[in-house]
Amino acid sequence: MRPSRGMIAVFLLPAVALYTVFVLIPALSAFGYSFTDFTGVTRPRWIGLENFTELADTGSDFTAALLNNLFIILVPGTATLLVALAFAFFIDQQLHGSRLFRVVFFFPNILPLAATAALWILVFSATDIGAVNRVLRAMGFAPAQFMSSANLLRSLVPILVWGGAGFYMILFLAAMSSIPSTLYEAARMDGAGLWHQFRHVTLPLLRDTIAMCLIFTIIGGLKFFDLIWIFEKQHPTRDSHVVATLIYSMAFNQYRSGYGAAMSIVQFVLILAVTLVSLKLFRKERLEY
Amino acid sequence: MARHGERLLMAVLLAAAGCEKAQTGSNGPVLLEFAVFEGGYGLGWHERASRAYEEATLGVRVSLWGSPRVSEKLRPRILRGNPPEIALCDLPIWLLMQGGKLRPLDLSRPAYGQPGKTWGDTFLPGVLDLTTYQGHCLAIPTEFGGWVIWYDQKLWRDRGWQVPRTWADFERVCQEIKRAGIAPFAFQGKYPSYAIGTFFGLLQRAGGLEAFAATQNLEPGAWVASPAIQAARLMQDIALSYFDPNCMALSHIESQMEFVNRRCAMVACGLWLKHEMEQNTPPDFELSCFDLPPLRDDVPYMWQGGGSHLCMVFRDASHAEQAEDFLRFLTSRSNMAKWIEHSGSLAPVRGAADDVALPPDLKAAKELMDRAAYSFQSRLSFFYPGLGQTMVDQIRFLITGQCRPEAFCQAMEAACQAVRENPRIPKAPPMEVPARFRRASP
Repeated sequence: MRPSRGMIAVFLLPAVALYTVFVLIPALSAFGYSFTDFTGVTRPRWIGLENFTELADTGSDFTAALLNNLFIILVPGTATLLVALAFAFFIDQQLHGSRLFRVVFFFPNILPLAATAALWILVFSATDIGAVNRVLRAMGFAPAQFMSSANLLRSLVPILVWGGAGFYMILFLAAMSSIPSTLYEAARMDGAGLWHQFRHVTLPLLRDTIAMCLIFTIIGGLKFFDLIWIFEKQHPTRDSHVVATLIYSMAFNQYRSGYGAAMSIVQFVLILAVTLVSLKLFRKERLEY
Repeated sequence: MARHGERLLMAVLLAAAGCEKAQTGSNGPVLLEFAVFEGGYGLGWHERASRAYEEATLGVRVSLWGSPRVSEKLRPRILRGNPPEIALCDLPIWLLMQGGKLRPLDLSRPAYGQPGKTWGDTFLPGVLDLTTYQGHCLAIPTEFGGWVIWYDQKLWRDRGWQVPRTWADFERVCQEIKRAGIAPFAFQGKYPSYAIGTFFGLLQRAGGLEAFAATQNLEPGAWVASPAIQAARLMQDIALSYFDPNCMALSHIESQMEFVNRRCAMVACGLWLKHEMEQNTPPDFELSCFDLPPLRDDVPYMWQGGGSHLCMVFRDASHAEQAEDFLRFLTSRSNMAKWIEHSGSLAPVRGAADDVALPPDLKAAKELMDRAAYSFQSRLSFFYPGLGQTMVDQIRFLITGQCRPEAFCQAMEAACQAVRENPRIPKAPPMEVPARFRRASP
C-alpha cells in the first residue's frame, strides 16, 4: 500500500525541522553576517561587500590559507590515492597474506583522531619521546623540528597518506572485484604482463571510482581542519593555517565573526563548485561490461 | 546542600521580618551568577571568596561555575541580553566596553576592610588604566601578571653562573651556559607570542617608556625608530644564539619541561610558570627569577607587568549593583592576600603581598616589582586582536631568522598604519607616559 502524502509529511517533519534549525537557519545567518562587522558579542553593522573585498586581496591570510589547502589536496591527497591504488591492486592479486594487509591498511581509519594525533606526536616530537628524532640523534644528526609551524604541512604528508590510504583502498578493491576476470584472461592471452593488465584493463575500468575518490580528496582537502588544529595547539600561524582553521581563529580568537562568515561562504562556494563539476563528470558516458 | 538550604531559609525569614538585606526588588534572595574561566588555578579561591561573601552579606547567594570554555558559553547570552552578573574570563573586554555591555564601576565606594580608603585607592598605580574608558572603570584585575626570566638557583650555584646585572654580564653568562652544553633559553615555540614579552622588555630598555608607549599608541614611525630596531636586533640575536635549537616544535609545557629538567638554564615566562609546572618540577629545583638587564644608564628600571584576570560586571545583569559590591569584596586586600597564597602569583592590590609569607620565587618577583620605577604592559592584543596576531606572525619570522630585524619593524609599522587608517577599527585611549619618565631627546 502506498503511504498517503500526509503520512510522508508527518514522518519527514522531524528530520526537516531539525535540519532547518541546525543547518539551514545557521547557514542563512552566516550568509547574512558575512555582510556585517559582527564581532560575536556586539550588534552587527552592515558593511556591504567589505569582507569579501578583503578576502580578494592576494596578500591576505585567506589567500595563504587557501594555498595551504591546495597543498593538502595536491601532495598528500594525490599520494594517498596512488598508494591506495597500488595497495588495492596487489591485494586484489590474492597474494599470500593479502587478507591481513587489507585489515592492516584499513586500521588507521578506525582510530579516533585524537589517538592518531597522539601516535604521530610520539613519532615526530622534538623531545625525547619522538622516535624519529631519537634515531637521528643516535646516528649523530641534529634533531628535526617536524612539528614546527614552518614544517607542519610537509610533516602531514605521511600522516595523511597513512590515515587515508586504507579507506580509498577499500573503495578501489570493491571496484576491482566487479571487473570480470574474463577481461584479464583475454589480456593475458594477448601477452599482457601485470603492468599492462593494470594500465589497460584495471585503470580504465576504475575511472568512475577514481573520479569519486578525487572528489572526496578535494572536498576533504578544502574542509581540512582537525590535525592542524591539534598539532598547532589551537594556534596555527600563517604557515600552517588552512581555510577552516582561519575561519575559527577569525571568528572566535580575533572576534571577526563577520569576516569569518564571509570566508565560510567562499569555502562553501568552492566546495559547491567541485561537487557540481563532479556530478557533471559522473553523468558522462559510463562504461558497460 | 543542607547548609545552602538552611541559609536560604534564614535569609527568607529575615527578609520577611524586615531585616537589612540586599536590594532585590523581590522577597527572594539575590542570586549572583559568577562565571569563571577554569584553568590551571582552578576554582578554589573563587569558591571560598563566594562563600565568605554569602556569610558577610545577608540575603545574597553566589552561584559560581567554571569552564575552560566559559567565554564561548557566555557569548550567546551576552547577545541575548541575559548575561551572568559577573564574569572572570578572556571575553573581548574592549569590544564589550565599546558596545556598552559593561557596568561602570564606582571606585569611590569605601574599600572593604580598609577604613578611610576608597576602593580605587587600594589598587597599584596604573593597573586600572587598561580598562578605564571615557572616565569609567569597566573591569577589575584580580591578578598582577609580571614577565620575568626564570632560573634554577641550584643549577646556577653548582655551575658558578651569576645572575647578570648588565647586558655584558648577560651575554657572558649565556656564552658560559652554552659552553657547558646547556641551551641558555627554553622557548615556547608553538606559541611565538611568548617572545613578545621579551621584545617589549628590550624596547623599554632601549628607548625608555616613551618608545614603548609610542608603539602602543600606534604613533607613526614608532616601529622604525632606532629603539625598536635595536630591540628587534637583540631579540633575534638572543633567539638565534641562545634559544633551545628544537624550541619551535615545542609547546609551552614541552619547552618548560626542558627547563625544569635542567636541559635549559632559563625561560622567559609570566608568574604562572611555577603553578603550571608544579607537578613536574624536581624537589631540589630552586626556582627564582630576574629581569632583563639595562641597556642604557639613563633609562630607569621598569618591570613588565600589569593587571590581568579581568573581572567584569554586565550592565544587563539582573543584580548588577550587588555584583559590583561582590567584586569590591573579591578584590579586598584580605581576599587578594588569599589569592597570592592560592595561586603563587601576585595581586593588583597594594599591600596584599605584605600580608603573605612569600615563597622564594615569588619573593624575587616581588623585589622586582618593588624596585621598578613603573610597570608597563603591551595593550596591542587587548585593543587590536588583528594587530596582535600580525605581531605573533612577524615575531616568529624574526626569532627564526626568516626576516631581518629591519623587515620585522617595517612590517609592524605597516600593520600599525593600516589599523590607524582604518576608520572601522575603534582606537584605544592613548597610553600616558608620566612626566617624570619623559625625556627631552630620545
